Amino acid sequence: MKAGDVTPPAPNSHESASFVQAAVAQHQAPLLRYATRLLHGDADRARDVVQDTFIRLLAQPSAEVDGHVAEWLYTVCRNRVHDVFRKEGRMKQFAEGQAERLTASDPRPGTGLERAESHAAMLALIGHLPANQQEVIRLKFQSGFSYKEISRITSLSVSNVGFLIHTAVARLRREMAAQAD
Amino acid sequence: MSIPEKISPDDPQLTAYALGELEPAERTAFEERLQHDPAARAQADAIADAARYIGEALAGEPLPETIAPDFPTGAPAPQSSQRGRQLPGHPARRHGLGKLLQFPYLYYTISTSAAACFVVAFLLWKQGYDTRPNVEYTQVNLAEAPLPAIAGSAPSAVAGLASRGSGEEAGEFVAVNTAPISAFLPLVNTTSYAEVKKSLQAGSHPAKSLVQIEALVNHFDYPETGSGHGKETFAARLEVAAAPWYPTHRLVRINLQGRDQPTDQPLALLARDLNVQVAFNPALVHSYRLLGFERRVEPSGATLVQPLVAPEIHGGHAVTALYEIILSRAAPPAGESTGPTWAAQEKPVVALSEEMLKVNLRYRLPEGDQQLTAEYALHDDGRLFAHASKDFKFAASVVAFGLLLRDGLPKDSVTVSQVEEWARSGVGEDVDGQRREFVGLVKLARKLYPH
Repeated sequence: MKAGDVTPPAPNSHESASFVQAAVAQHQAPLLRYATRLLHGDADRARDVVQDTFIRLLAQPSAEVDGHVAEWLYTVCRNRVHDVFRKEGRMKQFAEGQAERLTASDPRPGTGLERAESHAAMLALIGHLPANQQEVIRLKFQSGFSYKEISRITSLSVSNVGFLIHTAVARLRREMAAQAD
Repeated sequence: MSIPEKISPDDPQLTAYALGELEPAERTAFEERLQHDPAARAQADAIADAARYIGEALAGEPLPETIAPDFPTGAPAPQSSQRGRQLPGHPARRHGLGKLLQFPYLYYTISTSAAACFVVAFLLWKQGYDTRPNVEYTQVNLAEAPLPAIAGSAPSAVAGLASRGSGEEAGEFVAVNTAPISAFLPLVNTTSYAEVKKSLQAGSHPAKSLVQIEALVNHFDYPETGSGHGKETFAARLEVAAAPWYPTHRLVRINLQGRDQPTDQPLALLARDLNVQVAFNPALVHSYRLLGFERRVEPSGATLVQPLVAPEIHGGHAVTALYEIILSRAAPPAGESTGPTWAAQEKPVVALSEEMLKVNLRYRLPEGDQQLTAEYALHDDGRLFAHASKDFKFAASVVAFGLLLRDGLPKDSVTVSQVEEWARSGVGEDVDGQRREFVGLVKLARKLYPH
């Protein structure tokens, strides 16, 4: 019952274009969001990376990515971001450390949790997670990837992914409960 | 046998279990340990709730603007003059054929058709515009389009029509960009319900070909639409809420009810040539799947082609169809949602003021040739499954049960017990006892699924 990628038609040059079209329609905006976060909020550069990712998809025979387009896109996108950092001499971008706060709003300080703000509060807390925890949380709960897929995308081990998600969820629960008091 | 030691709250297996990520053998072993550890069990439940809530919050996060400013509008994009940075290896963006050459090096390096490059460039541009609100959605002039008498494997006569019988696999989502209009035959043979019931009562798993979701759903009455005493030939009830098996997807229920005819009329014919089409608003809907109404395959292997027009509709006729919807602007999410444990009230996932879809009926009266139409629109108020009507909850549980029997248990931990819970929440008055009987069938099915 889980949503998969929209099934692309059988490959020939006209239909592989519509295959890419479907991939763009479904994944362009979420991929942009993913890339923007990895690039610490640099939307311009994120756009370049995402464009580049779709160009590479165009060069793939659709049969090779069929059934796992999303995972392919996120992996390639992540690798491209890594290339950008490496080229500019910034290593260690995906490790623990200060994460950019990219979420829309923070809860008003000193108030209890109100219904209209509870989602915004959660988003703010997610935005405060260390970068590596935040990335796997989004891949799991926003993009819907499994532990195994996240492991392939990020090159972390499955148990590492599981540990990060467990830690992050526990922290979010603690922080949300504290805010609700 | 000694009792296994307690599970530490720091054990990542708790979260893996709660998210359905454990392999079957690990899962069984972990459940065995949970049996003896109520604190850990409570923690696993709380983790599952938190996961659902996190998914909800992330699904509502605004998406960034897509790539519109870099794409051709005829006038130079305001930002382009400030963009000095190029990706390594790209030639400078001089524009011979205008800014359409966003990917100029494609012409030199990639052997796939140039047409594909234009398509991608054009569509990335188009995406920038399609994300504006208040987009008029595709108007297909249904009154003038010919009635689709036969749905074959080629696209139907009506442009963009995605009808059951037009080639997509059962259970796949259809992108609105590909096919903004869907249709289903408003006449359902419900005999497969009895067959499924017989199998389950005999303790065996019904054959997949027997599990016809629309037949299961339409076996039941849905009295909340109201009995057909009004003047209108048809009444409709359209409802939308979260899909209980995937709460960031919306589930739409369409229930059409024909007026009762006086019983002294022979045959009590209400209408002829009824055709039902659903048009989705691409500003809100990214893709959809009709649940059930698949093509049938004959024993010889030939696929039955089904007409989409019901030639005769009798008084009191009713039909229900359900669609699962993926909203635009939302990435495919994970997890389920029943609301957070700490929030006092639940916030709807989305609140929208535009129409999500329109249902169009076309039919003729018993006498005469004039074609009549009726149209119903649905607005999504973003409600959670818990706030839907009993008819909705019950129909959703029947769909879920059908999907379970047909497709097997999904990885993301929807269980038979949950389906039973959804069904119970929708039993309502149940004057004829049919809904309670269904709950009994779901309970029988639990034996077929070892966990």
